Amino acid sequence: MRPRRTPWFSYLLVVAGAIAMTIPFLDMVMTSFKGPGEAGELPYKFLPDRFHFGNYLAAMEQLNMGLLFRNSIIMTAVAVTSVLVTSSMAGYALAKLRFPGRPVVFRFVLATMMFPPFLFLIPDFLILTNWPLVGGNDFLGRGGEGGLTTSVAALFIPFVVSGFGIFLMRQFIVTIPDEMIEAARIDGAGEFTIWRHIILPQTTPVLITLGLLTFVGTWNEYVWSLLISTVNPDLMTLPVGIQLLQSYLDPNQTLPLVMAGLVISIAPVLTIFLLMQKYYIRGVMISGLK
Amino acid sequence: MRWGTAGRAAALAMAAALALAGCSTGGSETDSGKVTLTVLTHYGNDPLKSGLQKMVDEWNKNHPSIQVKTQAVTYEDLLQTVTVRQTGGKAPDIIQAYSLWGGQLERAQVLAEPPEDIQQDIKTNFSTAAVGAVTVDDKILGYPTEVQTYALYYNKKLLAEAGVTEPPKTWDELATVAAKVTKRDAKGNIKVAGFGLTSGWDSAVVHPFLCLLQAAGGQFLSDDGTQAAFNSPAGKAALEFEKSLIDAKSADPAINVLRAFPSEKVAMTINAGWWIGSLKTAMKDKYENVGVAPVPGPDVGDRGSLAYGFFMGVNNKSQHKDEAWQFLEWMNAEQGPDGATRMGSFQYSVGTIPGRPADSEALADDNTDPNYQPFIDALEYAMPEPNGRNGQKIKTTLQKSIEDVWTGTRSVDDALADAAEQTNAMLSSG
Amino acid sequence: MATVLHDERKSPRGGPDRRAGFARSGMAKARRREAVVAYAFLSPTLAFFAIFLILPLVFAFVLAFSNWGGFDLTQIEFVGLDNFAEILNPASSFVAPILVNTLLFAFGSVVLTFVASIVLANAINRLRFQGLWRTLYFLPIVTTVTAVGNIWKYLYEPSGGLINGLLNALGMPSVRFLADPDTALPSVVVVQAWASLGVAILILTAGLKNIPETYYEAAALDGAGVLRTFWNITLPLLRPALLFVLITQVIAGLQSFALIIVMTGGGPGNATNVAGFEMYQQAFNYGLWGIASAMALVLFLIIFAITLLQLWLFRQRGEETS
Repeated sequence: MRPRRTPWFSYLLVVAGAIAMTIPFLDMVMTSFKGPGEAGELPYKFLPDRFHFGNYLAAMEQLNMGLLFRNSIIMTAVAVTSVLVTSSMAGYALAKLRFPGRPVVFRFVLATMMFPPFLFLIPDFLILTNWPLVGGNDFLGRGGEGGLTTSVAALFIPFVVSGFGIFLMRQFIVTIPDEMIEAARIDGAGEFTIWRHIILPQTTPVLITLGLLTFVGTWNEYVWSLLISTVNPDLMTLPVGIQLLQSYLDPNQTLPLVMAGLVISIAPVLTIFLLMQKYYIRGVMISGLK
Repeated sequence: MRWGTAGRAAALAMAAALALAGCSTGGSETDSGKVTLTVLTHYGNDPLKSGLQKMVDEWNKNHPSIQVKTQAVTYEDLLQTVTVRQTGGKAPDIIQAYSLWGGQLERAQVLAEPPEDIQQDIKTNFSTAAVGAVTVDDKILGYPTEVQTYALYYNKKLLAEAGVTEPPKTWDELATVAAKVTKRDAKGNIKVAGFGLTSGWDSAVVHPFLCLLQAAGGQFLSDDGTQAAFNSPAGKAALEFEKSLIDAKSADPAINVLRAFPSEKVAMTINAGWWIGSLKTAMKDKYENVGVAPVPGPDVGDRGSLAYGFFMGVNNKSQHKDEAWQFLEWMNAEQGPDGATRMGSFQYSVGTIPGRPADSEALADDNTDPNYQPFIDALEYAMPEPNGRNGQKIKTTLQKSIEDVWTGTRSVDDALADAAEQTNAMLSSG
Repeated sequence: MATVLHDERKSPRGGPDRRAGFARSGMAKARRREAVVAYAFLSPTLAFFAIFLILPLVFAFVLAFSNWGGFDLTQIEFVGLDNFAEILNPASSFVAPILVNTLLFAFGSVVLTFVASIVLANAINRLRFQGLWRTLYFLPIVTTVTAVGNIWKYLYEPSGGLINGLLNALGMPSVRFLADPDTALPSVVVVQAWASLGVAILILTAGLKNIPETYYEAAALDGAGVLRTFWNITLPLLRPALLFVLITQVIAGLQSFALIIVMTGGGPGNATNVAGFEMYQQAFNYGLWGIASAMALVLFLIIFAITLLQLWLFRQRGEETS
């Protein structure tokens, strides 16, 4: 049994840290309740003079919430599912399967994380605009009205595979004992079955983690979504829509509105995060090999 | 050539392939005789968004065969969006751009040359500052939509508390007033700053300096536009003046002037005309303490200002240039019901100075805030923001030099000499 | 990577002592099948990267040796090594201070995050209401970078900021954190470290949960105290997760600049200008895509070299990581 004494020092550390973590978030929430002009005031005021709930109504009114949520949800759901599947499969291959060129592929996957995003904007846009056989394009991808950039697929396509995810899964799958996999192979299981029935259950906490991180990253993605939404306004996502609430002439006046929009946008993310907490249980090894 | 024929051939093939791939049409459609134009602006939020939409709706109602659709992004994203979409072949027909980008756009031939009569109209009927903002290498890029000039904002109440009743008219007066007004607490922290200098963002650092430069009789580039001229004695004097305010502890670039001035923690600062609307909202009834005066120079009677603007031009890749110019001409040249052009009226309503002096005259009435007057006056003498080749890069280089002087990292002479040298190199490179 | 109790070399498959011998041809066929399956598992990934990574990289590579204004593909103009010559020239600001700042920014924030996340992930693991703590530490990840930057700017403010308020109360003069070129970069490093903690803690938590209770029970039975358990059980078993956090945070740190835009704009002067920011400026604001791409390639080579170094260092300690 682990020692039952209350870990006072740990509590102290964690609580102190938690306060530091929470303050900017609380500032965001407080700002969302401030009136026009209050946001930029000096000296800094944490609480608004009164709670302007109207900001939330105004944000919801000005934003086409249905459309924004729809697009964000589609983009994120597809990206998360795809990343989880591709990362766990590729991670398994890199961790447990032997094949020629494995170190090269591993380093290649790492290298995909080492390029700045701005380099990809134009090429990705060009690729989607000229995707063959879609949106009026011919076989060589020319002539149409924008190819894939006008379809909702444009939102998630660049995000369906993640080097970060593959690397993460690989690191965790490596810790699964070979004996477990061997036993399954001896029993006649194919690699796909092993993946489904051994790898996935054994890596549940890290899958949840990867899912959550991908969720947040895609939900809050701005640069690419902005580009697609200017080509087809029906594809606008939450972050893009919310940012447009910001007035060019008078940022301090609209800052509370923007913050209200952001809080609305974050609420689902935090809810999912809280719900997923119960999956962070200590892994129990089935076969007692460890 | 360093690469040899094979290398060059391969690369050219690649570029050609990409270019062919990118050759899809521009952003407009033709559908049984009806033309749809797309307009990209940074007017994503009210009142700008609805103001623009009102004009577009009016046009659409009266012109069923030429329909206009607007698209908006935030100002920070505008250049990036134009760049990617232009390359990707899905560019809008009409682009609104910031004057500083003129050089870049011109070099890449993004914008179509306006028809002769429109060019004449612009050259003759718009203010000097507006025309300067849309001209690059003697070519007009489009209709000026917004024009901004700079002046000295001051807080009458803070000045009065220190016994000052008139805004300063020379640099010496400014330094004295700033010193009188500055209040510090027991620890030496500034509680009220006499003068506001802002760092961290190029326009905030460079534009006030250029105002002071002009007030001292200097100019940014030589007359032929090939050499930097801001490292003249006038430029050095201007920068030394700013540094002296910091040394006297009347100014501190660490202070966020955009927040401190409305909170009455900064007594004077140089900023552009658009700030009036923002101050009214932020200060509410305290706004009556705000006054505006021309930016002073070393001697009595000196004034300086800087002008920049936005403009709307037609995309060179547009399939419907004629229709696009028709729309722009209607919005920017035709007189609307209130005696001003629709664009002029729209800009005026959001507190921006219209590009046409005639519009300002037609719209001005007794309710016009007198604080606008120095900005309007400046339209005739303000230095236009240099928008030639590498305009943005030159601006950022100058910004860093100025900041280095403010922090004491470099001397005025070194910083300006270095900036001038880099500027000259950038002016002569493509 | 080998765990403490389990030595890969002894596993039935592919150990060197099993190789020789009568099972050789069967071995080869099994090997081939394994390779085919592996590539099958990797195929969606590789297909994706072929289109969405390789093509853009070729584009970037071509640009690094060209001049391009950014609006029209037919205007790409070859200039050979000119761009590299320009940015690697000691007179330009790219190598110093920009690259130097980039390295300091990345390593400073990673060291802080690394240490803090190990300590905190372990601390949280020993408490009750873990879900709550984890959620609170997760908050900075969902807080928009504008809000984070703004709050910290207030904290750092010389006249009225919280930190200087504390310093003044302790009798010390105010420090102009973001305005003084000597303190600006460290100030931003702290914020970056703070903002990166949440992800690191999440991943280390998953790693900690991976360690079965039985180990801790055995250690407790042996009478091991908190620190010894941590050193001998937790740390070694956390290695893959730790390596992951280290590598990914360094890579991210070397490219990141969103906080810098919000807090200092790269200033004062070039004191907080980092490679990621400079590249973006060169491409979009100056219209100098050739220079920007050349910078990106240089940065990539640096990142790649550092990552290989990290992998090699971890390998040195007898752990197989590749």
